[in-house]
Amino acid sequence: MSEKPTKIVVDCSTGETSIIELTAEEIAQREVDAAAYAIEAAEREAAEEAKANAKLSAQAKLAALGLSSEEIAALG
Amino acid sequence: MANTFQQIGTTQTVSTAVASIAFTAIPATYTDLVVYISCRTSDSSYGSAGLNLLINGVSTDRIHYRLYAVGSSPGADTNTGAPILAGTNTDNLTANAFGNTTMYLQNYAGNQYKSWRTDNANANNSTSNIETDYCSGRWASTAAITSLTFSVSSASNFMTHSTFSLYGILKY
Repeated sequence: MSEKPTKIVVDCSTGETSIIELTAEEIAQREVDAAAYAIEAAEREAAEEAKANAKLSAQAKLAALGLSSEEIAALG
Repeated sequence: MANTFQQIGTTQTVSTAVASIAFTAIPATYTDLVVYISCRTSDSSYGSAGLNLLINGVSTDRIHYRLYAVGSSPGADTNTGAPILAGTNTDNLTANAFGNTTMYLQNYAGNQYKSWRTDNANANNSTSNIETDYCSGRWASTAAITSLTFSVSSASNFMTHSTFSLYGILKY
């Protein structure tokens, strides 16, 4: 049986600290958050890749028009 | 101008990896809250991991707006499903390096929607894979904030020596 994830709880009214196991609801929420984050991360990586590809394509088209690499770099 | 800056949650240096860290029974006696975070997550799937915030244990009506840069590549995103405070250090980055995040949460005990801002920088011995984040977020609730729970959006753990410190600001 795998170990349950735990959390540290700091009671600000007493200063007491305890380490307790996550509840079933907290574990379920953790899984929901992980799934949502995986989707967000995939979308972010796809957007970054698309942006990089578009930049390479634009640079190639500018080179085909006769711009030097220094001139293309100057465009940012 | 703040005239009180007082630690109200004991600084937690995690001696064993944990899934989350919660400050509970936060007193309503301050104007604003500040949290200083130095953490590293056990995630090995990503270059950075989302630092997640749960207020009063409620996971709805949340959103973040983020400006970020990984290396020299900037971007922006928003998320309501799993809003984050920052993309913090993972176990993929340089050994023993910790990301640092500062969070400012104003008027936390008032009866308006709660908003905050964070800034974050990761530590990594790389010229291209270092992340910077500036985030704002909002929890659409008029309830006073009494607890803050931090976790990792990828369901990994906070590694040993991660530290969370909660301070109260009294402006008047």
